[in-house]
Amino acid sequence: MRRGQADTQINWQLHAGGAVAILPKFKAGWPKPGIDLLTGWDLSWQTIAREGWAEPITREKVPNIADIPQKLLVKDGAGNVINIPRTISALIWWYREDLVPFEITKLEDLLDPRFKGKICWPVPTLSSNLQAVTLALHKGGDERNMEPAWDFLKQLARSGNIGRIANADTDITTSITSGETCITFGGGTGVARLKRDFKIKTKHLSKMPAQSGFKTFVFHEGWCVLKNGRTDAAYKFANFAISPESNEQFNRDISGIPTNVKAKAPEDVNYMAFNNEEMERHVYIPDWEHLSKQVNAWNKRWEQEIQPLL
Amino acid sequence: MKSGGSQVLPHLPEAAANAPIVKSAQKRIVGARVRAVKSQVLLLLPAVAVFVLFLGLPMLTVLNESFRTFEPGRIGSVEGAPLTIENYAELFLPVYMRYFSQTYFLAFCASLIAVLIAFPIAYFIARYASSTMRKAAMTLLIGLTFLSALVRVYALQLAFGSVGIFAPIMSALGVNMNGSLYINCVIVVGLLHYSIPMSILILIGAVQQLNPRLTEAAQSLGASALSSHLTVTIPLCIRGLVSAFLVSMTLGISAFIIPWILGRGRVMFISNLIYSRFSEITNYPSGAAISIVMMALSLLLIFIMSRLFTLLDRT
Repeated sequence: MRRGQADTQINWQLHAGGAVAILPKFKAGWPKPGIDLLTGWDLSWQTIAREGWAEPITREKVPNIADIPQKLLVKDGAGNVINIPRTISALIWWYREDLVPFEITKLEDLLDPRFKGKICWPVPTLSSNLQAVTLALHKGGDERNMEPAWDFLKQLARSGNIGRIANADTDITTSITSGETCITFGGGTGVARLKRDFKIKTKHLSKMPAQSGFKTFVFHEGWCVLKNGRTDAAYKFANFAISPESNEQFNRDISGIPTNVKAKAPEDVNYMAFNNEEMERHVYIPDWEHLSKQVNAWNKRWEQEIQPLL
Repeated sequence: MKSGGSQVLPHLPEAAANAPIVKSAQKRIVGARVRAVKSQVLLLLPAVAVFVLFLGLPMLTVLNESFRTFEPGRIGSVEGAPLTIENYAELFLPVYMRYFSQTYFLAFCASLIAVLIAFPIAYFIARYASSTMRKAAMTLLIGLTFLSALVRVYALQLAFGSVGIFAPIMSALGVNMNGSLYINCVIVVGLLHYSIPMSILILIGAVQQLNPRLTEAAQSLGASALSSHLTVTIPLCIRGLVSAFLVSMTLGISAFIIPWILGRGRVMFISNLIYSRFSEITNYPSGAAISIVMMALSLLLIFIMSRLFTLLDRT
């Protein structure tokens, strides 16, 4: 890995908040985004596609894209692929085994008085509000019919069981590791890191029976080459990053599942790896485009109906 | 300028005013005034330019954005988006008025408490502390303002959070650490962390400017210590007290990380709403409308405080 990157000189820039939080900065500086290669996920690709900010990805420019499943590729309005998938992950429900008062088997358990202040609930802008979509799916709705989810959320907010509203992934980390709360919803790769770094005992609800109500949402993260930058260098690095060896090594380090079909998945993320039957039973793939247009309305609904009840 | 010849000359008898020597004096005075005004304008020009460029123009952009229609899924308003007042109308919903009142109320409580705590400390440092102690106090207070916001906030969280070091004591006292009252109190404590040192620094200057003989004179004429303090010291320090209060209010209503962390995400200040609108849901028009309303309310607050200050000022 080190040898392969010996001649690369990259100025990495980190930004706080969700993947979409960086996009307003591009808007302010467009057509000069100041970034050549951007990381993101299913949801942010939709917005970037709509704004027309991404360079097309082709096999000529990124040869290793041939080893990435076609299903993971996102196209813009002109039909061009705009993303370079790097990691498959899942948004899952999970909890700290050492802190829960009893074993959680169904979504309704979250309303139990013994969970007073023990739920860490992400705001609708985190994880595209899929935590609420779970509730909707359990109560007969889906991402297009969220009324059942809002009703359940009102009950949950009134119960006093929500102890922390996570505005960012860091809030989930601090809240769960400190013991302030014990159950939450978030990215599966983060859970593996917390388990490894903080030596906490976690239980993943990613493969629960259908009647439990807990659903898992598989998504992918990756790269996007922005227009008006050093595109050739960006293509070159992205191609290197998704090569079988690099992709495998990177995902082993972050506890993710490689997108390159020639790379091997690490063993500690079995809870995020699904065969066809498990995919059918436990995983829900939402309409990402629809989700990306709902964030504004859902966030306002949260502010107007849920937040005042907390 | 006002007390000079320009005020005397207009009252001269007509014949005297028309005399050549008087006319030339008038010209000299007018010339001097024009030169003075010119130099004042020149001196102000850089500051005005900075304000126009970095505050006025961006605020006009924000104002324009606040009247635009937002298309979900886009970043900000698209070019040529239709005009609307919806972004403002939405803020009249009771729930948003509640967010505004919550922000201003908690900031008001923190500012009031900060001034009440800061004044005796400032008075002690300015009046009774030795030179060494005063220097040490000033160093400590200025040093506190350099302390990272995150360090302060997480220190408070570790102390007063639901799993903080004081949690067992609070539980033993029967305090509901999951309740909104407790969380609001912790937020006020977080705001005090900023406003108390700032208020003390402001009030030290105000107390130092106060002539101590005035209080002594009041007491020698029969006023009690309390009465002289309330009727002489406080009114003469009102300028500093109002300044300290306003600075504390400014810090309070613009607080972002304090409600975010100490409020456990369950308390939302206006700054959090604005951040969410701009950064997370990229609804610039709505974020801009909230910003404009917040600015208008802050200006109104300053106006009210200025009127109050005029009424109470005895200096």
